[in-house]
Amino acid sequence: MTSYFTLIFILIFLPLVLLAYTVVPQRVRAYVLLLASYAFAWIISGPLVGFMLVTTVCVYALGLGIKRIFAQRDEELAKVKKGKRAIKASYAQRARRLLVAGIVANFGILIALNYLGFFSELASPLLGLFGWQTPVSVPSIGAPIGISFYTMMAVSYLVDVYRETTPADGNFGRLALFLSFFPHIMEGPIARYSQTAESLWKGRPIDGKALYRGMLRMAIGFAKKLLVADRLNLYVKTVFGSYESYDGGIIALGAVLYTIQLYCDFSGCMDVSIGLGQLFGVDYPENFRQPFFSKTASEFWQRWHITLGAWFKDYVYYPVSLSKPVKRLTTIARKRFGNRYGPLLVSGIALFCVWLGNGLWHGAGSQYLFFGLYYFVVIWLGGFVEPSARAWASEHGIDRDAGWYRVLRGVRTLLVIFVGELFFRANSLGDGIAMFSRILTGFSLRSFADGTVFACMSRADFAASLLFIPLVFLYDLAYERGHDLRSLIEQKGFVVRWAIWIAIVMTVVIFGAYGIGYIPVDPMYAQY
Amino acid sequence: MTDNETAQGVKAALRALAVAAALLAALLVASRLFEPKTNNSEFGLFDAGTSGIAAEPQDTIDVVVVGDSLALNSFWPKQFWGDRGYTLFVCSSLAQKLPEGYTMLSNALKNQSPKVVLIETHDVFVPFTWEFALLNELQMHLPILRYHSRWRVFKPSDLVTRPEATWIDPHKGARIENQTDAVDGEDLDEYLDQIDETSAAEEIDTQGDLFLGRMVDACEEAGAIPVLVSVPSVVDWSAERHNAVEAWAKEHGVSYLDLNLSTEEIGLDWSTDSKDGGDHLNASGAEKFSHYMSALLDDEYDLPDHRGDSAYASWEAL
Repeated sequence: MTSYFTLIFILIFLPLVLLAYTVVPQRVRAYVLLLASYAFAWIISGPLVGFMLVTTVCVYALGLGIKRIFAQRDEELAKVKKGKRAIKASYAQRARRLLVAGIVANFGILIALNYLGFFSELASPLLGLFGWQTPVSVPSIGAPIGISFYTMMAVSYLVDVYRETTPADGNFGRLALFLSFFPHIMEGPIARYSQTAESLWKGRPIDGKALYRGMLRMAIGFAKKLLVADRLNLYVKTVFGSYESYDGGIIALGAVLYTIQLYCDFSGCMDVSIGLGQLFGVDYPENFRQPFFSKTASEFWQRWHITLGAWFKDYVYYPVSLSKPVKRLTTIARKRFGNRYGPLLVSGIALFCVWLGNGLWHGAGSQYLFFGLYYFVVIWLGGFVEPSARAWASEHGIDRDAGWYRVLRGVRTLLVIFVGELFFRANSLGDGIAMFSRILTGFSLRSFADGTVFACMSRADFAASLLFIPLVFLYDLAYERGHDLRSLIEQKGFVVRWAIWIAIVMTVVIFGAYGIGYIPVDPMYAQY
Repeated sequence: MTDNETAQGVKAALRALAVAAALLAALLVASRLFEPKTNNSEFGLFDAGTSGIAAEPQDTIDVVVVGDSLALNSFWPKQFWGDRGYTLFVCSSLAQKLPEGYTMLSNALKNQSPKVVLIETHDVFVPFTWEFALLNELQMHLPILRYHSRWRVFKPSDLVTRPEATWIDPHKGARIENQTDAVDGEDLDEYLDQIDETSAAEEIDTQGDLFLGRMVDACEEAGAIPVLVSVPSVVDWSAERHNAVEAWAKEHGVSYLDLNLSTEEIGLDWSTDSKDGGDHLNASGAEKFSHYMSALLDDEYDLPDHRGDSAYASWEAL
């Protein structure tokens, strides 16, 4: 078992967990989920799962430590009438020390397991400038499944405890389950403690409605992944693996198809995760909201991997923006560059931190670093250009809400996204640059006309893609226009709704890209 | 629990059963529709060579061989027939794993009652996952999971045509190849040295143990004698593997023939009898090996001679 998209998970693991969850008394259900979650992680990662336990113990102890400090503060504040600010500052500093220790420890583990080799590679030429050599090669022991996801959840919990927006949990099992629950451990969503911990621990009984909701959502996820994503992998893997053999037209299509593949893979996995959560009475936050209907790159990131963007906003962007040095700088910039451009200029600092983090979060590679900084530049510059564009449109009497203008903005945004994903998928930054250059300098449609394109993926798989990609588009379009298709189906009678579910499953079984001729693709974000 | 709760529970269970039954029915119908309509690769059958046995007349095969490419390239049915007049069919495929071997054996035993089943042992050391084993098991019962990609070539006639095995394999499952690539001297020295030494055993993992056991059980249930066989291979064989299989065979009361210990008697010349540097035998090696094996099996298991019997016409034409 390597993911949710395996027979062992669907036919053995999940039914066993559902059965055990149903037959045990309600007070024991959370322990069943905890056991199942650690078993799931163990099956995939083996003893490395110990790191998840270390993180849990760490944030549990530090959370209680922070709670104790604040309790002492409150006791002391209750005794005095003057000097409260100094007391608060003193205790806040003590609590901050624990918070920093927690952040350093958890990100330290993440960096040590995921990034040390990369940083060592980066440092090597720098050290070389001074005539030094990297002393030793950095050994890699691998990382447990979901380390990037549960680490961010752990840090968010600790920060929220520090901010006193979440009470420190004295129940170790509940905290452990919040961090390790198997539906999110592969690819998220990066849930907050306040969103899932309580409902997880309640152990709600499985009812027919929740069961159908969950299974429908899961079936849709399987459909996105197996009908579209894994099929497109044939084309994407071929083109990105040996781009030197192809002209710019083939590579450009590769960037487009990879973007669709990644969307269907990641959002499909999210459907499965959210569906799994629904089976057990847990509502995960949505991670996607029709991202390809975005008008700007900034909006795209509010609709794509939403929980990651929200994490960076809450725990990086705002803290940096509201830090004393940045506020001071904003005041200076406001005076020098005016109220419009001054704050915008300084906001680049926080934005840079966010996108540097976002790029590195995706992986230890120069292409990921570039990917993050690419969006930093696009979004930051977009902030400068937007007012001018608005003014220009107004001057020329252009209605920015007109359909054609919205389409134009949408297409522009899609181009930005495709270029970003090209670099993201490239095997290295060098490959990304070479592929992009080839699109610009060697673009041709000849390969489509003479059939060379079918060497990358068969005609039948192209035909299937041409059927299923528009279906995904229409599904998203319905949601974009406010039609909740899943709810509509859920409201149908027993026979109709289950017939729809069986129809989806059978479509996946017959047309799914699995078995002979296809390469199994583990969920793509599970590597992060 | 109240009566109302009990009634609701029963209703939910019945509904769950109804959904499961409907899904299973859909899978079975799709399996029938998408299953290749004959046992030929032209009709989309994978590993068609192993399915040739389905078209052999009932109960006409005396010896069935399961295994991977080592078996495929070593057992030459023509030689067995010519030497001793008994029928040997090779139900092997390239890079076959034990669960696939089990499937092929099960399929073969549906229509045949062989006296002996030879299980080539290289498979035992080819790792596979439980996921692979589960998929293989499901594919046995729900062919749609194996043949779903036939939507590409689906014809309206598939809706009404019943699957029927009509293709007789002229090679009886074997794939004998002519090219020659001599064994490297060092490899050969190492191989020959190992033959004389006894050493530790390589581990047969849980999956290997399970599926080897299932194959042996399937043979015994069908009244066939299971025999583990290691065909000569400089590259794939080792004393550790020999020891492991020997111990397993002893523990389970199964015969084990390691032909790596008999290369002199077989008359193998590794400079001319391998197609790829000692991994697989070529036509010359297969001929010598099959000649030796045909006598060995006949002497040991007293196999019938069908030569001259009109019911075995396709064998006369080999």
